[in-house]
Amino acid sequence: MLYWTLKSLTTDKLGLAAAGIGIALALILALYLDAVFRGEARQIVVFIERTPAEVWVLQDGVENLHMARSRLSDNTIAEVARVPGVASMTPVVYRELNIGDPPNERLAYVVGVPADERLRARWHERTGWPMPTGGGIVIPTSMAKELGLKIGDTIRTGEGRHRISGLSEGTFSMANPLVLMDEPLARRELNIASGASLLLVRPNPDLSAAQLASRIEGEVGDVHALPRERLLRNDYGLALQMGGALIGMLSAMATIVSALIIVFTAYSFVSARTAELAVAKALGAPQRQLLLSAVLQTCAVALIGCVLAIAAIGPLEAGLSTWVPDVAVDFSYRTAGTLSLTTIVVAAVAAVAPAFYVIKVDPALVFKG
Amino acid sequence: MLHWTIRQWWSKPWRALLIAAVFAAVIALSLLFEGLRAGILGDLNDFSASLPADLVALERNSDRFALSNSRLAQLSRERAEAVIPGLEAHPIVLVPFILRRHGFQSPATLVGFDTLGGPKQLVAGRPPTAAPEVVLDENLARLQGISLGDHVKIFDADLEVVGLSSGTTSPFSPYAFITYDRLLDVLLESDLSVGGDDMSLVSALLIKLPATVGLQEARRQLEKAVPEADFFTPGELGKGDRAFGARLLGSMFALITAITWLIALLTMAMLRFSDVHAALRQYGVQKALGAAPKALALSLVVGGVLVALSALPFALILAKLFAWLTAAWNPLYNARVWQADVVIRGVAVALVASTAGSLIPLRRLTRLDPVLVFQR
Repeated sequence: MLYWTLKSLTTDKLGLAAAGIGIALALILALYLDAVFRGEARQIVVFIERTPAEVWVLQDGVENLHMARSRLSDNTIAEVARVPGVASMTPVVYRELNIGDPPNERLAYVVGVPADERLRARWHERTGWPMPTGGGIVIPTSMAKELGLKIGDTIRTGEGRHRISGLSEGTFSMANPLVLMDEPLARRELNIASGASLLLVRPNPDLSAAQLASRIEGEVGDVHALPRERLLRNDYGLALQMGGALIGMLSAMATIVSALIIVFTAYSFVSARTAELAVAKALGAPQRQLLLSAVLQTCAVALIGCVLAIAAIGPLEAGLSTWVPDVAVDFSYRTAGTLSLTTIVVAAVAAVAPAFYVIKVDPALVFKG
Repeated sequence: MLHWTIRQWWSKPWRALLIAAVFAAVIALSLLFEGLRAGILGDLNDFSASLPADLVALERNSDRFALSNSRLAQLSRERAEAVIPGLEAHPIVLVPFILRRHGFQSPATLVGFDTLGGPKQLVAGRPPTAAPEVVLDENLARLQGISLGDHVKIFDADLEVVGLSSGTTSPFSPYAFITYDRLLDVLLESDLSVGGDDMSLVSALLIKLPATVGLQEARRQLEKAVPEADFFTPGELGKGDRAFGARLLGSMFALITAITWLIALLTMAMLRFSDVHAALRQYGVQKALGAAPKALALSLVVGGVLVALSALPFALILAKLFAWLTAAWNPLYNARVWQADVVIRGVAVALVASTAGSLIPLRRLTRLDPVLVFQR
């Protein structure tokens, strides 16, 4: 019976392929949306992730870097520097700014890179990003590609035009591209004459990041000190929450579409084999085996779609990163697995329709012309 | 042949219904994504385009209102009002903030207004006064489970929600409204730099012109007198915001559109394959009677178009249901699935996919041996 099930399933190879690809595409659609939000969320935290600092000090009440503004006064900075356990501290200006000429203007986040050569060398080593030189700025490679710009060209940033002195990898996202510029230039463009947006702090070796963060908050008023992991979680969570519910909803809808394709495939499969089913019934095949056959075929179609979708993830991610670099994607095999499992379960439930058809087949049909 | 195709399609109504349902679900998915794009861009356009002003002044080189970081000097207002007698320039401040409640975070924009620029349409409650009060976008409030009378924390300030506004939604940054005086208190209370070097107390000026002055002439004079600002009509800003959204999300939605078109095409191909397979003998009869490949192709296309046309009404209803479910999950996403251009695109997807997808099984039919008719 199993042999017949599989053999008859492969009789109409093209139809089966179309059904499998249709299901795979519906799943890929859901996975793609999930990947876009994950990719964006991953890119949004890239500055926090790569910058060498265990503790991030922001203005009191500010929990995020993305879509938030923090401001620390010179007095506050001096107070933080005096906290015991602070091994080193770097004030940084960081804020959003318009970049590019209208109508191709984008919102970018500007990082003012301090002049300290040792710090620049460490940043370069940890991030892999070139540091701005000669009054120029560093923009993401993807942005340069999109705007048709190269090193040496100029781009409008805020109120001025600046020469591109370097291109950075992995710093682009739709909502949070990173632009590096020398601190004095960043201060001028962001209109921040004194103080800083945030402080990058490294603790003494005998102190954990969480301990130092808590000590800073205890000793300095009006600041919010966070270990890197917590700030990272906050910004990642913010990005995912903006689209999380939507992704869940759209994934459910894509699963519904997949389920309908599966139901139809299973239905058309059994309806096309009425005569064969009648023969099997006339020969005394138990009803249970016939039903199992219908369920197996339905699940097999779903499985083909799921396998195709999972197999497509790698090439899709590589292709999108190469040809559509301005959309950061991060496909999740875990999500793919969950969605595939859901689809197969839905397929098994959906087999009720063809199973009902199988039960109704009259064995006498075999004697009709 | 045409008559036969229609009769063939209608001969098994339950099968025809199932086919229509499958294709309708695919088209509904396509309509939903197109509707989401239209909704996001439409919301971005609508708020700026409905600003209560003849002209809006923003910092030079800004071309949008949404997520704007425009800063104008306090003197800009005086200079603008001095240009034309009777001209009114109403300042507003835009401050981005993150609304947190029960562990859920939403970025939003706080609009501080004085005499003009407050919430235009209230669906509940009243406008805010100088007391610690705020009006929230109704969809932002729904997303965060906030009702009238609830208190929210914006920066360090505790504010009572006294009104809910409509037409102020955006998935990137919905709007909240507070009076200018209260905003100053909120900023001071939260130790945010007020009027400092990076936060101006004027983000934009809403300009009302006297009835006797023409728009272009006023714009020319204002641009000369206030060189640090650019002047836009609300309509132009709406277009700018829309274009900004399209730039931000264009590539992402282009890929989604491409995938939904492919799904529609392949689903139709699968449905037509199945139909051809189920009616192989009848097609054999047609071939035995001398049906040419062109006639067979026409039969397939007509069959596909019939499926598409029968699926469309279901697709429109299903898309509306999908949009409703999406908004129930996240009210900031308003899918405009019944907007004319979205429906036109949906019909185009259905017809193109049904025509192209129907032709995929043609090879099978052209190679079909009419002898099949005589086999049992």
